[in-house]
Amino acid sequence: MRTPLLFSLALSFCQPPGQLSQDETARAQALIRAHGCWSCHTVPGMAGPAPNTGPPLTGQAEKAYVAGVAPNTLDMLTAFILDPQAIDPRSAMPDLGLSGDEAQLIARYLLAHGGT
Amino acid sequence: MRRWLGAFLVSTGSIAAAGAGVLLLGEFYNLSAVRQHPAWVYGAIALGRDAVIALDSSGIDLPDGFTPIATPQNAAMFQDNCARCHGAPGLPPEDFALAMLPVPTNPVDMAMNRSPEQIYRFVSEGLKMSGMPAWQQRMTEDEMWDVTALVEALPDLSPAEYQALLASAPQPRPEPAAPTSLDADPDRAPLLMQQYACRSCHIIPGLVGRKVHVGPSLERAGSRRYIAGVLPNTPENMIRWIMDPQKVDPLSAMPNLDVSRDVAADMAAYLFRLSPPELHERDEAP
Repeated sequence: MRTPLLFSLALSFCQPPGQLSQDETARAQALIRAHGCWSCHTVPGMAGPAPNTGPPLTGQAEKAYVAGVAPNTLDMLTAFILDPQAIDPRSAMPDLGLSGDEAQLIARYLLAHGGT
Repeated sequence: MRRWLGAFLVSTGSIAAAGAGVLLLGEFYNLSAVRQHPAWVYGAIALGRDAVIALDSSGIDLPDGFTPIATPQNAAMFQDNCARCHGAPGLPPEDFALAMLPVPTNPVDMAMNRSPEQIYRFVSEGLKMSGMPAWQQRMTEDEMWDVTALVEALPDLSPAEYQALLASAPQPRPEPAAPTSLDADPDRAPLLMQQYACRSCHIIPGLVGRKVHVGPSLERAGSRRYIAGVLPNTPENMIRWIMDPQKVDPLSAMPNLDVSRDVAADMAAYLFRLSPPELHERDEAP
């Protein structure tokens, strides 16, 4: 629990959250595909159906809260993707078994994509 | 052709100059609440307001047997809900209300200058941009008429008599009640959602406001699989959620707004009309 959080914290100091390289964007989209995020969420920058099981992830950077319960920061979004029930025990979002850096890459991808 | 062009330029020019003159001389560029309108602007606004209020209240009929009367009950109702901003004979408004602009009208002055129909109109509908809220979702019609009767009775009451009524008010003090209705009606929901300030956190189709992202947009709330990410979305669960969010998720940022079951049912019906839950029905079919 502690190591991935520390790791993602360390990472967040290395790179500004707004910028993703082409390679990072491709890796983030591959993770989103592989873990099925877009079977529940509308994901920005990725064409596909617009499922409405979970909220759309478009405009994520503009949102005030993560999961309606915690301030929307890179660290909080990373922590929620990594272990949703640690942030909200009642959340319907499943734990996808991601590593700390994978969760953070997805969080950075979402925060970097404003619109649809 | 040239004459037309000249006339066009002169007329648009004069309109623009008049607009700029009103903006500058009327000090409409100053939005601060520590600077009053110039007297002539105040006079013009008051004139327009009074004309509109007279027209608005002409359709209101006094209930049978209406009479100005002060009782311990309606004095307590006025003191607990209205006097917080308006003050009462011998009693100040709350501190925050002293610096409101416009300053809330003194209730004795109201009674001396306005008909009961007009006072009822202000209580029920409020007044845009004045700080006066509409009470029609906070009080029943009877309670709003009780408060009107109290206001109209104030000029005949000494401050000591008013305060004696308060002292003899029943304990606990009477609380105003939200009006009730029988069937869920989505057509009522836009007004209700506005009256419960839903739009201060949510984007809601049918309501005007900021592009706010404190809560999720409600455009597709009806067809979302889960409410607040925790509760399967059904009409009954949506009503439960609106009435008491913390019971559904203790950590939720959505506040409990003291929404009655009737009002929550109207709101839920509106959300499901905006975005029908087709997916769920298909999921749950055998």
